[in-house]
Amino acid sequence: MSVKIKLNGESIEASEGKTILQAAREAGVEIPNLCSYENHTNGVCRICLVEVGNPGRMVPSCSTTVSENMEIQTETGQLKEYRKGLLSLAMKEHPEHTGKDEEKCKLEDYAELYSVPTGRQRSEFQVTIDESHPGIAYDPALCIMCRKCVIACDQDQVNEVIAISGRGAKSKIVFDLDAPMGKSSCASCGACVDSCPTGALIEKGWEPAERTEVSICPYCAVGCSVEYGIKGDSIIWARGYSGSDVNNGKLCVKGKFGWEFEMSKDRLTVPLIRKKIGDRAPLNGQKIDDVFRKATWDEALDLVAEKIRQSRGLYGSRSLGGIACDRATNEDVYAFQKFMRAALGTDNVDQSATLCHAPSAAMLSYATGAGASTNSMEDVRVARTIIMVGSNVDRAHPVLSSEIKQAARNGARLIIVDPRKVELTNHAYMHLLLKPGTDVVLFSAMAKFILDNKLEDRKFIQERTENFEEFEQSLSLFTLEYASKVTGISESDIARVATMYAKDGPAIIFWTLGITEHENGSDNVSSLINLAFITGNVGKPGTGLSPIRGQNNVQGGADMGAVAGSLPGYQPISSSDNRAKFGNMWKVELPENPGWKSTEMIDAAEKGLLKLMYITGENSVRSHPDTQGTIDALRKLDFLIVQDIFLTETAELADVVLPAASTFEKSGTFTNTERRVQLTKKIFDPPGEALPDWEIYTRLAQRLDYDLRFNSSSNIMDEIASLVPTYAGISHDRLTGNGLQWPVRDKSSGGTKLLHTESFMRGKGRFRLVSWRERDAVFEKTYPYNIIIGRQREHYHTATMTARSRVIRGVEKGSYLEMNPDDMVAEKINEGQEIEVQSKTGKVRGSAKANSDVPSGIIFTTFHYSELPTNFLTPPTFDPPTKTPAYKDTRVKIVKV
Amino acid sequence: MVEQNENNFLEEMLKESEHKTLTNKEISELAARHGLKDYEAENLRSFYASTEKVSKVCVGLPCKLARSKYGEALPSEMSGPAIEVSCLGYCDSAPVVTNDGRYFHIDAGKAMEISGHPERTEAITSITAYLENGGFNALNRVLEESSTDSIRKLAKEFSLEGFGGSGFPAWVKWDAVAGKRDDTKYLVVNAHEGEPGTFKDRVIMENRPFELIESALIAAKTVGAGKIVIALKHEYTDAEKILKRALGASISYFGDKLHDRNLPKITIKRIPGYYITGEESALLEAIEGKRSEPRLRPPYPAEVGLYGKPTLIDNVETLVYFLSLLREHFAGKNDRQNKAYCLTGDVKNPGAYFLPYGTRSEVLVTDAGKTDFGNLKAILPGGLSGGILPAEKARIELDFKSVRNAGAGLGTGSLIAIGKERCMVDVMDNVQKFFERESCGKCMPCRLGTSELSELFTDLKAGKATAADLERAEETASVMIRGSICGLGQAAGKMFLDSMKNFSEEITEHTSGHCKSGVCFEGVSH
Repeated sequence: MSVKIKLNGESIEASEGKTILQAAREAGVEIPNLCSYENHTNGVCRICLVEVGNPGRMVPSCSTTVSENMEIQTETGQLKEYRKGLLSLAMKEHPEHTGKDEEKCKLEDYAELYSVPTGRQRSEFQVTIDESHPGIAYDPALCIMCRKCVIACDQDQVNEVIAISGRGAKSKIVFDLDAPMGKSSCASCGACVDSCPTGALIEKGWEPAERTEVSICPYCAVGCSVEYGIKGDSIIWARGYSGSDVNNGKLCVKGKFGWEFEMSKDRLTVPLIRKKIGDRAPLNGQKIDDVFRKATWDEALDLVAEKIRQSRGLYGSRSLGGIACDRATNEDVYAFQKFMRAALGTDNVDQSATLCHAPSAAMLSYATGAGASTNSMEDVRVARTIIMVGSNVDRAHPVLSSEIKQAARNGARLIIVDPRKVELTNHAYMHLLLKPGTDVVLFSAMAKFILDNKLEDRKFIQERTENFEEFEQSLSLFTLEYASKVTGISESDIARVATMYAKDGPAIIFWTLGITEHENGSDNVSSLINLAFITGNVGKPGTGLSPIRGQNNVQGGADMGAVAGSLPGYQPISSSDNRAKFGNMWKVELPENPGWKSTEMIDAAEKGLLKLMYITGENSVRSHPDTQGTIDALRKLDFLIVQDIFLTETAELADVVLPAASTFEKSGTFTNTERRVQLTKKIFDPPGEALPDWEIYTRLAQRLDYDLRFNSSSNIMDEIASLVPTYAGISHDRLTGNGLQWPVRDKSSGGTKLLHTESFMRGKGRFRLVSWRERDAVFEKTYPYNIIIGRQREHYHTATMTARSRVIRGVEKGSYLEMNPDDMVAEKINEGQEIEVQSKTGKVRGSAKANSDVPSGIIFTTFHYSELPTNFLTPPTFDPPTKTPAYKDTRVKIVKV
Repeated sequence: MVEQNENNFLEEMLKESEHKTLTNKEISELAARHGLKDYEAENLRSFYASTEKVSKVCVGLPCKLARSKYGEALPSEMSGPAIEVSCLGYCDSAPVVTNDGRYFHIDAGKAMEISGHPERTEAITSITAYLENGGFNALNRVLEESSTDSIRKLAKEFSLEGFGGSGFPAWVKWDAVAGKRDDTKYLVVNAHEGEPGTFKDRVIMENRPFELIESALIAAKTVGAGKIVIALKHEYTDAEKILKRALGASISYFGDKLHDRNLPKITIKRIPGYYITGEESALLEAIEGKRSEPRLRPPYPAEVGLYGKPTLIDNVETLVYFLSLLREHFAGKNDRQNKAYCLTGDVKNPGAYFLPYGTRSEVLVTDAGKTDFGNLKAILPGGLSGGILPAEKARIELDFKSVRNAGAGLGTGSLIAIGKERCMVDVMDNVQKFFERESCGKCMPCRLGTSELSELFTDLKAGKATAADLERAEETASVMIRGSICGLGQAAGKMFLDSMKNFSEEITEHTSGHCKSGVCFEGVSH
């Protein structure tokens, strides 16, 4: 609905419900404002007053909504005089800027506009600048108490750090209980900095950019848009892009400060060839130049092509395997799998999803026909019940976490299911603290309880699903009593959450790797899907089954077919029709049998079956389970090619290292966790001779007498659209703005926020029966602790990129083995003491740290730090259907050093 | 909006900090026990309390004026750290100091306790006398006979105006809340006086508690509010005791009828805060356990009030006054009712006087205050925000209309008398320092403006201000009046313009080194 208003004498239409400030802005009239914060009411600076009616009445334009026939004047003599008076008061308390931050000061701009003299000398102010934070400086003298940072920190990000201290003229902005910013609980998301209108809160060393570019954050699968400030060939700052529907201007510490890797002197700039081919060992303190020699692309690619030919000739295509990078673009990944399948003739191609969410994708695909989140992140705003399972979203996906915290504040019931007291439990209605790995029992018991008590959505089951009877009969084991015994959660709590999920809808389930990285990861996922099916919590706004994906393009990686056995668009290679369809296009005969998944490739290398590997952008040595076994397997290969932007621990083992362009050096698309395909923008040329991935594959294919037939990233997308029905309507020129969520069936489609609304993508929703195997009690006695390997907010995975940011190094939490204080007392371990943790697979040493959020019997740590390479511990045991490692099932014992 | 559970963090923190200085660690732990984070604790502790054990010395205008009679000295037992506060609500005993939760009148360095007389409490809270004098008859009649519509019509016929300061027609708010459909509606009784010279609600609660309970029940029933919160100024410890005992007696009296008649539930709670807390939306914030800062309006409390629910907020006296009108109406009479007038300042007998609404100022000052009106230079007819009138323009009837016509406001009906010997710059310095101290700091015009005007008077008193400064201050005042979110900043600006209008000569002479009264320029040589 729109209303007619008169703005400065001109009749215009404005949307109903808009404030005068918004309506004027849309009409191209910017009313002066200092405190206005998108989607939040603030209303404290009072400079945005306008005159309404005749005679004019002065009202705040930021908090007055437009109404029919409203007459608005934004710049009368009276208003000018008022603003000048207010600005004079403000400027009296405002010191002159001493640095380039003046260009960030809106107050100074308005002072100039309304001819108000500039402020006093900085030296007249007694307050000192807080420089305790590695990346942010806070000068209280420049603060005008507009409270935008308070909204940013408290209401928008819900990080809950910034407080208003005191009253009146003495009031000020402080952190926690008036702690220095760097010592406070600040999450370093930078929202306060991005919102500050005067530069009181500012990036250290901030300066104006020569240009800005908006692109997609290179880290997680939330897919935030970031506005980068650029000077010369450097990024100099980043801020959340407010035009994005995904992050609405928010970022986390990684998006805000994690871009320094781009300018790192460690970047790979030329191809490297190992001096002694085949003698693959870590650098171990040797210089790169001692082990590798710089090479031209021709040399390096000729050598790689020769080795591929050799291996293929001797052992067949089956001896070749490749792992795609999930932070490369869709176009890169598509080119990679096409290269592997068409130029090399092997289906041994995979991505890192096998290390994380493969059970989610596989089981969702089995049950619904689409291996992806059924809904969008925005559904969290509609849901009344939100269940978060095995998901430390506040650390791993902070921007989504903010949305969830906001939803909880707005009255949604947030249920956390996690064996640890994760940050989000502070915002939760209930926390089900279950024993690690027992999820399938918990959710199956909920399903049984719902069915036993007739809380199910009978109509949905009948009309939309199949295999229900078998499913219902399979639940007999999962009584509340049994589930309570296995999970450690009271029967009444299980029943309560089940009832809420069934009856207090719409209800949505989010999960992450706490569900999938188990020997029964697929069953865990299926138990969640089954639960949604019996309650009808899918296909409607505010409902859904939502695996929160990890890397910024891990969803796209699978979409693009970097999955053994699955051609682009999840089209099975085992189908002759599919082979014909792709074979015709690619002008080759495609292999018939599904290849190996990445964990199987390591196993095959160990067994001597796989001879040559091409690993792109995966630090497999640190990220695969059983680190020693992985290193041994990679060393058994005849030849190893690693393509990356840095010389990772994996690249150290390579015979040939190929320098790739980073995310900032190429254009293409990323598909985020809600299936949103977004454009990423080339901001710089690659350093040295580094190339975009797809160009490397194209050049290499030529040497193998195959023409990939690509000449640009957008041209690759056109081929994708022609072969993948869910991407059929996508082309780069259609992705401006907020991108498109697949399926995009044709050029006229606006994308799909919500899947399975009328029917499931595969037709009927298919129940999948799950089972439960009791734990080995003797083994658990020998190895009494469960080690959970998770994340810290500041770092990403093996930290190849984040560790190269100075600010992130400054705010990182460090590597620890976190234990329950009671366990430490029982084991007689002191805070900070070095201990050794042993599993049946390996051992690591680290310093113990007490954390009461970690329950007894659990040790929590991360895999970010090279000095604590925790995957030496994780056993090579897998979820059978997907071969996803059971990272979260590792049992350990403690040995004192 | 989510209805929140009552959070007692603030209460506990204030209680603990009355006797010792709390460390950050202790505050953090206390907050965590109440499910609050450090930043929330900081928001609250820094707003509401100094966490040090200190004496609080009232420097409100009545106490300031009284000190010229009773002296500045503090008793030796209160020689520890002290902070200045604006009003403790015991202005009839000015000057006042509070220490360790007790309240004292100070006379020549001696402390006399004002509060805490249990035997009086006993007598006042006996319900027998109240019932004998027709207590609860009006409520019973409302419950039995009248439709709520007819009661609201009466309020309108009486032109019921609010006695909390703004003089807003109370019946408009009643209609608005009655018109809202919601499972939960609140009546908040605003017993959070905070303006220097205003203590009438305390006197009413301490002496006529049953009337407040009866009238609150009638008002709540009339608008369909199921819950009543009587929000008392934190300093009103005796009033709280008296009200709670009276409530207990009333509940016993109603017995089963409580349920049968579905009477609203009454909660009595002392709320920490300041002058700003008496602003109705800031009071709601304080009850919800937040910083007591005014909300932006719209939405008005009638739509989005306490915990987001439709809420009627009425001042204590407004309700009690309505009850007396209603009793008269039920008795078939239509007599003028008594209003509470607070009288302080340069008068012999300060106090709260119950006189017919519209009593003349001279009558109040002369008959009740036992002071010759001719000895006055000026009066503030309605507390510190109601304007300031020179004595010659101040011989008026004390009702909303007459005071408005004279160029001021009746406000809470609290008259502060200014003697002939006073310097208006000195008086206005106190007034502007009050506003500076009491500004919550939320909006820019008030936060910056109150400071600016306060500094101006510091400079005027020290002989440092110029005529140009006065001119600029008039611009500042105009910005404050136009831009401030609530009445505090607007009143601060208006008070300055009033003083310039009525005492221009006296104020301006300070810019050229003269103070006729010989009060200013202390330590400044000319």
